[in-house]
Amino acid sequence: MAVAPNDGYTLLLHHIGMSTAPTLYRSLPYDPITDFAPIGLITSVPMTLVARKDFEPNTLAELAAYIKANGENVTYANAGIGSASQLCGMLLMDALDTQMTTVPYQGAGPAMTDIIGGQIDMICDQTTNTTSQIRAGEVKAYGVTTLTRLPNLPDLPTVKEGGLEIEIGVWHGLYAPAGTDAAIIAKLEASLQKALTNETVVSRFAELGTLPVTAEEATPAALTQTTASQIELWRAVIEAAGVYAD
Amino acid sequence: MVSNFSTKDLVSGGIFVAAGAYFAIEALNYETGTAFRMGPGFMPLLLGSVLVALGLGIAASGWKKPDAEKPLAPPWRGMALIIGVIVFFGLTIRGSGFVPVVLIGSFAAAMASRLNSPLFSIILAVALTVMCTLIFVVGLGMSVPMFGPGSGSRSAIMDIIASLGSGFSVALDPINIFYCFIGVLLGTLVGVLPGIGPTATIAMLLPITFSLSPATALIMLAGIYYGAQYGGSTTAILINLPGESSSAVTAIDGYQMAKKGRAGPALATAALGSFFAGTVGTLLLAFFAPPLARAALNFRAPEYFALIVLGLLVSIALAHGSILKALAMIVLGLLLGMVGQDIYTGQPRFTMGIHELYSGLNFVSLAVGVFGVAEILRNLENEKGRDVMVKAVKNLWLSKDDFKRIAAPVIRGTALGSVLGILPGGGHILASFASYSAEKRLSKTPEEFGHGAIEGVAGPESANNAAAQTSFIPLMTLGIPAHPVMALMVGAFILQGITPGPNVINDQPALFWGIIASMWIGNVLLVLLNLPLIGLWVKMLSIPYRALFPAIVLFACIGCFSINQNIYDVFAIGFFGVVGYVLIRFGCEPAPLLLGFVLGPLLEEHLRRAMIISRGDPMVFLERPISATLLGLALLAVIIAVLPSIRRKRKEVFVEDD
Repeated sequence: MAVAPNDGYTLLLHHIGMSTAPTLYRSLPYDPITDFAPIGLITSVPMTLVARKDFEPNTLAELAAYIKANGENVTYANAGIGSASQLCGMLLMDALDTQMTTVPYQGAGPAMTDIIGGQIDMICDQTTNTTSQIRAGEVKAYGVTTLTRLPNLPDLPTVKEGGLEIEIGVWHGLYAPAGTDAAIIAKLEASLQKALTNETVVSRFAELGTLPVTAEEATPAALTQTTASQIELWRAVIEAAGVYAD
Repeated sequence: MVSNFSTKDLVSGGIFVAAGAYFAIEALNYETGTAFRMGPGFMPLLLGSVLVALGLGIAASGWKKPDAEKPLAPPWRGMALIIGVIVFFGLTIRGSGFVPVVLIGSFAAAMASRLNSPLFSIILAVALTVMCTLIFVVGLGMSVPMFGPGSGSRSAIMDIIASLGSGFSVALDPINIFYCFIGVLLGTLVGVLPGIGPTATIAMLLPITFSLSPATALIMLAGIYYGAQYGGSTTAILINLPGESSSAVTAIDGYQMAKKGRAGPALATAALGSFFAGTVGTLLLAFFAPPLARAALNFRAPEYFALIVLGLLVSIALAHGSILKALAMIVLGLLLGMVGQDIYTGQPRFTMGIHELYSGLNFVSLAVGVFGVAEILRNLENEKGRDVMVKAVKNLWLSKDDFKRIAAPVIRGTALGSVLGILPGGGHILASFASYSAEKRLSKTPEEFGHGAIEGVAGPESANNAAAQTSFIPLMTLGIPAHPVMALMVGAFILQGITPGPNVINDQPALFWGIIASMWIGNVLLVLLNLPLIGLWVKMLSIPYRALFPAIVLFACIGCFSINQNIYDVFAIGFFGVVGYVLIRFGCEPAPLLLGFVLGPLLEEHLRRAMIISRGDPMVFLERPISATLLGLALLAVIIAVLPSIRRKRKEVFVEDD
């Protein structure tokens, strides 16, 4: 992508991985800051803490106590190296100062299969993967990682309410290759803004448990700022955990 | 040969020793880990050592069996030109534009045959370039510049579907049937073309489904998937070019049938077997989806590991040559499957510092290389004998005797495929391989397998299609995608504002039942579409081979490149073409290699996961009843395979070498 033609027809929709890759991969062949021209943020998908339905703890406070007491006997699934669930797991273990046994999967689908099948204890994953399972009662939900409760899961408390200091959202942004003409970027920005206020887009996002960003955030400036500050934030977390992808 | 050794065994044994040593020594650089947390080095080190041992065994088995006949000289010029074309394609496709690359490439490929004059090669090159451009760039909307750096191209098909779609927005049923037809037609087409498989096609069409109603969109996308399962067997049978893992098995006997002038019956068997299996699979989906999906959840890491071990061991039947060589090919395949990033630690393995290899070797490149390109190189050895591939096409349709022979394999294949397809952890991959092994074991004439046995087409094709249908079960009832195509289907559901999961049946009954009903309609459409095409396909075989093979080389390159736009996928075709040619020349067959390749990553993934969850206790495989049973069956398979060779003083009952 970094070497794609900068004619405005080849774009990249990337997510939080843009900010973790520079630390996870010590020999990354591209630079997320200098090789891309940001267009704007799109959405930030909330994460939820869920477990197999017969998992002992019932509330977030009980969950925290249970993990602290059982440590490595608790199994935590993630959807692979660099996935949002891996990042959320790092934050969780850091916040509780306890190591769980991490079991990596190839993607969120297989990971969720084993949670529903009761083979793995828990996962922290995006609402796009968990909402339907939470509503169907296939998994036990403990909390959501946003500052406020979600409109389509109103009974689910935020992790802050439960006393856990974790805040993470899987932000998605739109990028063009570096060197794309400013007029093209402006046109793309305007199109993005328009798309994010489209009724169908808003309602589909809502059903998945997420919301489009505000007009101020769907701008090159906001995405530049987010990319840069998130790289710094994740550098600290990943280096503290000592987990690399190569 | 002066020595007492069989050159075939000595050389192939040597290749396995070298390859095993490379993987084992390289694996020493990676952590081996503990039983609880196996490191990225554990499996490759173990398998690499096993391969070295097998290689030594193969070399030793050639003692006192000097070669009977002198093999034909390798076609050096043809090989250099064809591999050159593949490398040239990979190096230039990004920068130089589609038309000049295909033009030069097909000219050079045509010159690989001594029967082609320069003038004929030029004419062929121009014709091929026009054809490839029409199919890939205009038809399928592949995004490559036509002439050097310049504008991209938009897909015509997509636009047509989209605009026709907006016209048909009144009556629901005709629309759905129409899109179902479009889906299966597109599926058949992409199945026939090597490379561009259902995954790439669904991914390309996903955006346009946004404007369709949910049922229509999903019906069409599902049609592409099972349509491709029908189409995939066509090129496997006609020109030994399997487009995906399932049709690799069909190629073994299907291509031999085609060579004997029985391409018609082979294609008809594939279509009829697939239809029967598709119907049964759909019925299962309709009546038993929820309980079956629940039951499949009991299949966990230890069970998958045991199932894969069983699959690997019974698949020795895939080869009709030496057991040792088949085992070595499986192990080599397992090791090749481990190239790329370790999913547990992210450690890149055997990537030689090449970033494009992080996601592993591409299955299609490997299959096209060891089957398609290797076959071309073999045919160039003796050109005069093989110019027109089909001796005499006897009949297009099945005889009464054929019908009798395929009935049981079709039913067994359907049963096997249906069961394996439900397992979300990769069961569908085993379906066609398992069916082939079963048919060969059950056959009264196992020596016919590998030489054009119709059962070897009927069983796997049915199994494969049954699995394709039942692999929708975990998705539709639990929201769990069983493989990448199903993951894309999840994307399609989400685009429509529906999150696939246990609620779909209750919340969206019309959608759920609509999709299921459409699958049967789609299967009917596929049979109606495919049977009349058989005559056309068979006619294609009367094209002289010297004109056909340059087209195969170019199609293979374009198809593999189009999957990920990764030039290393193109280089891999050339590399594995030579490897496949050399190995086949020295008596090793490629099918077990492919099985090992697709199962290798799963074997390691489930073994390591089972060990993490059991906290390093290997007894977990024996304590769980299903996994213990499967492992017991695997042991039984080994005993059955080994017993006769001991009893008859290693009289090599399994070697029916030609």
